[in-house]
Amino acid sequence: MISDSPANLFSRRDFLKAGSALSLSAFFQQSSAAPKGPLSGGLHPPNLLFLNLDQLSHMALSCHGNPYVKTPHIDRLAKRSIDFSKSYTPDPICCPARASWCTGRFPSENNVAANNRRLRQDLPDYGQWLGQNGYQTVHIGKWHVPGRPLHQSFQLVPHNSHPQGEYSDNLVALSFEAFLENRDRSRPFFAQVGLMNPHDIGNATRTAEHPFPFPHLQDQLPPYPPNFDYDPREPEQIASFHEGLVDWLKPWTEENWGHYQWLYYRMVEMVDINVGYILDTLEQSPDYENTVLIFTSDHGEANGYHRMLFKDNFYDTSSRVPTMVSFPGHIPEGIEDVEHLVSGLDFFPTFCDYAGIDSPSGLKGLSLRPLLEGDRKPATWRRYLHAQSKASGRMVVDQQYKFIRYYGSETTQLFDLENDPMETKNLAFDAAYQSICQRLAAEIDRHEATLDNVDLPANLTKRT
Amino acid sequence: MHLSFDLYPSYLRDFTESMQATAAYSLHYDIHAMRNYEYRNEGGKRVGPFPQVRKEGSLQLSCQKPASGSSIRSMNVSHIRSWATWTNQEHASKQTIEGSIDYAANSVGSPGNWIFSYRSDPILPVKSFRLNKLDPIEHSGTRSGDQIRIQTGANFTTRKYTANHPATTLYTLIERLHAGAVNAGLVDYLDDLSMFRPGLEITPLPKQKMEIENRVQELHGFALVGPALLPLYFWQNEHNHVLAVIGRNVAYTLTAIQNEAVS
Repeated sequence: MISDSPANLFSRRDFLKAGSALSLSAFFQQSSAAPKGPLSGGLHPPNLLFLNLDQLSHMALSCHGNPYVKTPHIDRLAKRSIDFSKSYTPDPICCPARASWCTGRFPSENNVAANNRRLRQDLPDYGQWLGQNGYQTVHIGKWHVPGRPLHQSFQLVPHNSHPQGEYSDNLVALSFEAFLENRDRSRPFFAQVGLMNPHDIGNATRTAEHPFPFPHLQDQLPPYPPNFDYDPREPEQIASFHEGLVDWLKPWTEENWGHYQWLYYRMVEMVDINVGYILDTLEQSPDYENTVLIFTSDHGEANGYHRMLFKDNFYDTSSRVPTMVSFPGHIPEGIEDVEHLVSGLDFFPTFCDYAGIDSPSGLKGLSLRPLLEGDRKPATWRRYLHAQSKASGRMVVDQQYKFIRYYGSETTQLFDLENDPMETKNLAFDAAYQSICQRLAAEIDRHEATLDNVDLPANLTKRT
Repeated sequence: MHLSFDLYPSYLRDFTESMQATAAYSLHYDIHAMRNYEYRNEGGKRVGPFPQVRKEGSLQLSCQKPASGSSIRSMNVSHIRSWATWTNQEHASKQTIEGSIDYAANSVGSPGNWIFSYRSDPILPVKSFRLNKLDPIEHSGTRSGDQIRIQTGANFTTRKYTANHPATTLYTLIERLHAGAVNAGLVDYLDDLSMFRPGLEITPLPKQKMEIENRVQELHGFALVGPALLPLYFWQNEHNHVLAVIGRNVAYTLTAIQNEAVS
C-alpha cells in the first residue's frame, strides 16, 4: 500500500509552521466537521479527480474543430462530459492560475499575481480543505504553487514533477494508475493530476527557426493563423512584449511559423495519449461510477495567433481553456455549453459542493453543479466573468464582448467575440462603442471593490 | 548542423569497437533533460535564452545472447528517471521501469511478451518536499498478430490495442538499430511499454559529419516521427552504435557498451 503514515499527513504542527501570519482559528471555524451526507441515491461522497494540463488552448482540440490536431481521447472525454465553451482561466500564466484554482481566490487576493510569488499563508487550499473533511488527498505531477509545499496540502505526494512533459507525462499517467491500484478504498479520494504538455512548446522556438526537417510531411504544416495580422493598438504592458517578440521573429518564414504550430499540435497529441491512459485506468476501476472528473488547463498558448507566442495575455488563445466535467449517471453526456461563463475559480466550490461540505468563506467562484445537473438552468448565474494578468491587467467578458484594461495604461481593448471571434479589431477606439467600454470598465471597478486584495508592489500593479 | 544537435552534442561519446552480435551485451545510456530556458538580468538588460540541461536518469538495456536459429530475442530493461522538482535543486524523486521483453528479430523489434514493474520513489531529504513511496505496479503484455493486450496488476485494467503496423518500443528499436536491421516504414510505438502511439514513421536522416571526442565521424540514423510524438532522432556511428536518441527536451547518450565473451 501507499505509505500514508501520520507523519505524512497534514498536521496542526505543519500548519503552524506554514506561516506565523496564519489565522488558524479562522481556518478551522470555516471548516465543516464532516461531509454533509450522502448524495441522492444513497451514494457516498464521490471521488474527485482534477485532471489538468498546461498551456492547452480551447481551440487546440479536434473536438473543438481544429483540423491540424487529432485528440481522440480528449474528444472521447468531451462526449461523456459537459464541455464549457466559454471557459476562462483566472490568470493566463502558470503560478497565478494554479494558485487561483487551489484557493478559489483571484491572484490579487492570494498574492500569486505573477510567476514565483508566494501564496498568502492564511488561505486554505482545496487539498487541505478536502483532506480535513474526510477525503484521501493525493497530488501527482505538476503543482507550481510557490509558498505552499505540497505536503502541507496533500496527504500523499507520490510523484511531484516539474520537468518537461516529453519525458515525464507518461510517468504521471503511470503514477495515477499505481495510486488507483493501491489506494485506500475506505475513503473517497481527491486526486490532483497535473500533466505538463503542451507546455513544452516554450522550448521549441529554436527548433522552429530551422527549416522543417521532414520535407515529405510539409503539407502537414498549418498556414498562418487567420488573425496573424493583428490590431497593434494594445495596452503598453502587452505591446512592449509583443513588439519585441515580433521584432525577434521577423526572420521567421511561413514555414517557421507552421513548424512551431506543428510542434505545438504534436505536443497536444502527445499528452492526449496520456489523458487516454488515465481515462482507461479510471473507466476500468471500481471508482469510475462514483468519480467527478474536471478536466482543464491552466492557460492556453498563442501559437502564432496575433503573431504571438506563449501566454500571459488576454487573447482567447491564451486565456480561454477547455473545461469538461463528467460524473457518470449524474451529469448528462455530450453537451457543449455555449452559454454560461465559467472560470477556473469555480473548481474549488464545485469540489466542495460534490463533497457535501461548505466552502471556505470568501471564495470568488461558483459551484458548477447547478449547470451540470437537473434542468441546468440556475436561477442566477454570473453575467460577467473576470480575470487578471500581469498583476495590473483586468479582463471582463460578457455574452458578447471582452474588455481589457491595464492599470497604468491609457490604451484599452474591446473585442466583439460574437462577430469577431479572432479578436482582430480593437473597438475601444470606435466612438460607437464608448458606452460599452464605459459599462464594462464600471463593472471592473465594481468587481474590484469586492476583492480582498493584498498589497502588491507598485512596480507590479502600476496602480497609483 | 542538424537541429537535433542544438542542445546535447557535448554529451556524445566515441565508440570505435564493433560489437559481437552473437554474444550477450549491454548498453548504458545517460539521460540528459532540458529544463526551461534561463534568462538572466545583466546590467538591467534581460539576456538569454540559456539552455539548462541536467542529467536526469539512465537507461540500461541488457540484451541476451540470441538462441541459435531463433527469430526471438530477449532483453532486460532498467529505465530510471530521477529529477529535481525545481531546476537547481537536488533530485527529489525517481521513477523506475524494470522490464523484461521477448521480441521479434524483425526490422523494428516488435515486442511479443513482456513484463514490467513501475514504481515511484522519494529521494530524501529534499528541502520543501516530502514525497511518498508508491508501491510498484506490474504490467504484463502480449502481442498476438495485430492484437496487443496489456494487463495491469491483478485488479482491474486490461488495455487492448490493434496494431495496424509493426509494433516497436524505444528499447527494442535501439537494439535493432545496433544490429543494423532497421528499415524505413510505418510503426506503432509502445512508449514506455505502455502508452500506445500508432501510425508513426521511421524515416532516414541525412548523414551528418561531426567531431566527437576529437574524431570526426559521419553519423547516420533514423527519425521516429508522426502523430502524438515529438520527433525522436536516432544517431548512429559507422559501427551502427546508437550514440544518441535525441528528442527536444531529452536525450539518451550512449556511455558504455559491455560485450560478454562469446561462449
